[in-house]
Amino acid sequence: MPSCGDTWLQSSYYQSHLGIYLLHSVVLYITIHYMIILMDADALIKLNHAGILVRVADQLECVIPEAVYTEAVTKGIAAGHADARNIKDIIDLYVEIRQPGTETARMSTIMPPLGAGETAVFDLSLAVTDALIVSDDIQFLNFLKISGRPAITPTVLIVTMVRQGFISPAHAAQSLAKMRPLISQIAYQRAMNELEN
Amino acid sequence: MTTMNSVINLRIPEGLLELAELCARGQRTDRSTVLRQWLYLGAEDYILKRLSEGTLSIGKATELLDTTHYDLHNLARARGFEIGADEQAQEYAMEVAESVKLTPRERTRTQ
Repeated sequence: MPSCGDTWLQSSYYQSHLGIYLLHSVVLYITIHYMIILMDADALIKLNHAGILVRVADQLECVIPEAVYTEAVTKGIAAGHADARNIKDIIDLYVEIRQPGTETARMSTIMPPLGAGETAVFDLSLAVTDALIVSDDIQFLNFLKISGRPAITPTVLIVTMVRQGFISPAHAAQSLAKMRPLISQIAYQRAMNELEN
Repeated sequence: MTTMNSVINLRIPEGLLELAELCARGQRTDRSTVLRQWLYLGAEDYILKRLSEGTLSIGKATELLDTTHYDLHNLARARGFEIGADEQAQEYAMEVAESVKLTPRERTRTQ
């Protein structure tokens, strides 16, 4: 450690560790990215059902494509689902709706037959720098993994929000319990285990 | 998305037709309606099975059944199907989560 007489920059401790600090900073810059949340309709519905969508949208930078709004809000309201109105209110307040590009054509050879919302989410992820997709659909997640697009599930988003100080473990546990009927038991159990560790 | 119905020819076993006739009388409807209902029930189960296996996406499933995500979730629960990320998908999600930092909204507002 530097002695009391040295300034921090002159200290031998600093100079001997400068390389390590710089390397550490570069590694952090490369591996840790500030991500913008990009949700599909399934994620919106599940997070809303868990009562945590408002917190996610209020605290984190979130975007969705128009097609996801149509699936989760327009069609939901038309079919008389009260949750759809709640999701509409949250989106109107906090979530940005962006139009995706048309990059899908280039990827069409490997793309499975996804829905309009999922396809738009994928396209938008190519246009939005550092988009972190949130979905709970196995086929979509597998495709995203193959395509090298970063994606997490709603339960992992909740766990990550706890780890990064956005919500308390108790709040997360309550939300996961509410979400439980809509998700796989493996996803629920793993998320609860993560919270306990 | 609602598309126009198509007319197709089907060979149906006599016994199944008789059963459809019985069912139709009980429901005060016609045989064709009953057969369509059964076809739909089979299609729903098939789609839910593929969804739970991860060989069909929920977005595509709602389009094929001309329904909503909400109704498909309700249907899956009613029929005992579990739809949502499996162990492998969850594993990938956890790996990704290790290397990301979520962007607070205030951070973006001040940039």
